[in-house]
Amino acid sequence: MVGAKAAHLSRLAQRHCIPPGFCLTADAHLTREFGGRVGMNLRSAIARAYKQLAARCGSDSPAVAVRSSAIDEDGPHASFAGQHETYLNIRGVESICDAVERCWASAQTEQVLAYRRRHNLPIDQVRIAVLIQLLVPADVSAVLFSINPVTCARDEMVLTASWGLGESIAGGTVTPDMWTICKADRAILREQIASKQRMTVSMLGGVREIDVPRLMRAQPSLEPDRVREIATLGITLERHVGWPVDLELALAAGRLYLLQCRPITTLPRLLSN
Amino acid sequence: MTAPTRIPLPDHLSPDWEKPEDADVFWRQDRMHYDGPIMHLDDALMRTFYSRGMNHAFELYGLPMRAEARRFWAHHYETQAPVPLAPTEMAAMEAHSERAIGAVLGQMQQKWDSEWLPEIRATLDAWEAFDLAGTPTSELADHVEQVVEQLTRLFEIHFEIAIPAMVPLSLFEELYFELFGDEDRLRPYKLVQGYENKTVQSGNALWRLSQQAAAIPSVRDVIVAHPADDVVTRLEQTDEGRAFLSDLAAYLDEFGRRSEMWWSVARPSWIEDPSPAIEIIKGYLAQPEKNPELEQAALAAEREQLVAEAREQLQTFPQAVRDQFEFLLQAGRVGTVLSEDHGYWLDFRAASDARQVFLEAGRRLAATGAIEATNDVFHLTPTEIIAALRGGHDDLRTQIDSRKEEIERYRGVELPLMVGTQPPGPPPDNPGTRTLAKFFGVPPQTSNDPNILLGAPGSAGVVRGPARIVRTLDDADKIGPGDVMIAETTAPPWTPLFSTVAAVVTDTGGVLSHCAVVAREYGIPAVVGTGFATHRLHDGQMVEVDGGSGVVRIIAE
Repeated sequence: MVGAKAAHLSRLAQRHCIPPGFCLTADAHLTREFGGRVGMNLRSAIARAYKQLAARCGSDSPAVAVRSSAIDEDGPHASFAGQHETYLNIRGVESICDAVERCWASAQTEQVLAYRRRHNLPIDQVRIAVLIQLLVPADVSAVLFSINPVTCARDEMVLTASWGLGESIAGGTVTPDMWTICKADRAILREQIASKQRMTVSMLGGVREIDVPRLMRAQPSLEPDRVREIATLGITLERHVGWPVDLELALAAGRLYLLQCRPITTLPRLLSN
Repeated sequence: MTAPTRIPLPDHLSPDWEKPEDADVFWRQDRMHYDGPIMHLDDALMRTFYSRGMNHAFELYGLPMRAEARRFWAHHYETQAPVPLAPTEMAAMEAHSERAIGAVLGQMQQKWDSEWLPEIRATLDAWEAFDLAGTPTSELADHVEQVVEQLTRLFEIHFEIAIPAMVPLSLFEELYFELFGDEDRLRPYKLVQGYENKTVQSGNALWRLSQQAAAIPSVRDVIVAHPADDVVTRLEQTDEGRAFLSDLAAYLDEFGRRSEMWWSVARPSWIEDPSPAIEIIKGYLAQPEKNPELEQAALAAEREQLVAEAREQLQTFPQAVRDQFEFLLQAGRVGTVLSEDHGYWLDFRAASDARQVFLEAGRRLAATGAIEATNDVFHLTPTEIIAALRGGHDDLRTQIDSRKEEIERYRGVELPLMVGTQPPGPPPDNPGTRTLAKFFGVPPQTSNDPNILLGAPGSAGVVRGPARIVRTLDDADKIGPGDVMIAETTAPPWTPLFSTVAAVVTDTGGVLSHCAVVAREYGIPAVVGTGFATHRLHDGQMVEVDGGSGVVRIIAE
């Protein structure tokens, strides 16, 4: 079992541009030693996988993102969005193991357990998978909903984007640019360029959120052509998954990467409202 | 918003408004460009400079400002007042301004090479080729009229260049502080330092002349032993001396079309009186270990290092940030060089060439007896000069006498730096106004410690040395190696002195002022815009100048 997030990504990787990586299964979580530490065998396995990843991208110690993926997370009924930690710009086996341990620990916090209780999910033997993926040095991060999550209009999509890594959008510390797109012809129905105040960038050993330089705040983070390209991807994936999707994307060196694709879990509730 | 406030006049002065509405405008004495009274000819040209040149650029680049110049108490005052606009108009204007300035920023070098410089050179070449002495007086009047008209266009070009040359530097500074912090206020400027420009070339050429002189004992001894104004006569007496003078003449032909004052047609050029150049050669001979070319190479190496470090740090930043950084770095580099080079052509050379035309007019008018002496022509406006050349022999001497009397009455009188009416509220905050504030400077903070003077950081470094108050270039001969030059302003023609002094402190200007820019190129500490260093300090006081933090300390009397 590798968790819905990792499983989705690996299926999508065959067709789309997805950063390479590897995954620690939920069973690996069971091998943890006293104090929630990564054991010797798992450590060697991580080292081997990291070495392969390094060879694949031609760097000695490439920066990775370490994210948790609960096996019942990102299923169609409960999203867990933001409930588990993500560690960005991690380099080297030691730091990865460290981040893995913190991911495991994050599955046991009171906040997470309360969430599981609310959604009638088991709270004993919580196991999570951990996804270790090459960090995309995002120039722009974007989130696409293949429906309009506010009005629930299924013939519209809503794209938000801002400078730097995705943490500032996910964490709500920046008001991103926003495009409402017509699903039928991918026409941009509405464009709202925001004054983007904050951005997350990689710094030695992690990431830092800093002020966006004044000159760039009101600059659109995406060109219209790019907006339509992302819209096309959203339509394709929605068809492929068979359910409206929520995509996390990164634009780096002119290339578009798909970081995450998950069904929009709030949909049944939204539709019934 | 506070109400406009009329600035009270000191008791010893009565208002000198030309028009009653002048009292409603905020005027600043332009001490950065004029160190004392201004004569009528310079005044008339300066009015055009501001009202036609600067306003042309404000309009072109969508800056909601109006500039004017006036002569109060025989001194030069100027205003650059914001045009009051409704908030929606202001927003539209700012958007227009961003587009208009943005469009030219990336093309400055190209526009300089293919448009501005060719037009400037064509005008100046024509003036320099004009046979002034051989032209009948009536045609000379036409020529004066044409030169004045062409000057207007040169003033327009001056500001078409000056504004977009400075704006990217100001924007680059702001971006750099946002990205890397502002602990070192001058660091962003180090990333654009060490490029060759006309000011640096002119200093280096003079240094090479000094090296030449150093190698010929007979020439060297004459220059070292005699006052600057005596050197030429003495060198003319030997073969070696005459050979050196011909090299000096070649230097002056290229770099000597300049006077000791910025944009004054009333002051002699270095070709007419090479004493300032000889003074600087003397300074170099007194510092045999000095090598400005090596110093510039060190500045360039430091620059490359800092640029590489900044790029390294920005590697993980979004591409849009890196693009913005590279764009402004490049535009800032071009802007730094063009700030100096447009000054060489449009401030030095144009003024010096125009001066020759007015001098010829002065000679004709003196010959007819309309004026007493050739130099009296500088007390007349262009309109009066043209009319006098055309209209025969009206006696202008009484008028000139009263103008001379007025100048003497106000010479040395302490005049307010600001007069008229203080505008309500702060000026609008936009890239244009911020740039102007960094050029002209802002009022300095006052220090509670009587031994400390505060100004703006101009050029980094800490040195100690004896203070030397320099009010005009006539005082330059008291400057020696290791001294700290204290000046109201350092007009561009003064900058070769930077090769001799240990540091510079000025009353006026900001981090983008000519003084600060050139001090950075010479690698000497500078504190600018102290307000009144020339009044607070006196000759011989030991002072410590901390250019990076903008502080001057009095160490000992």
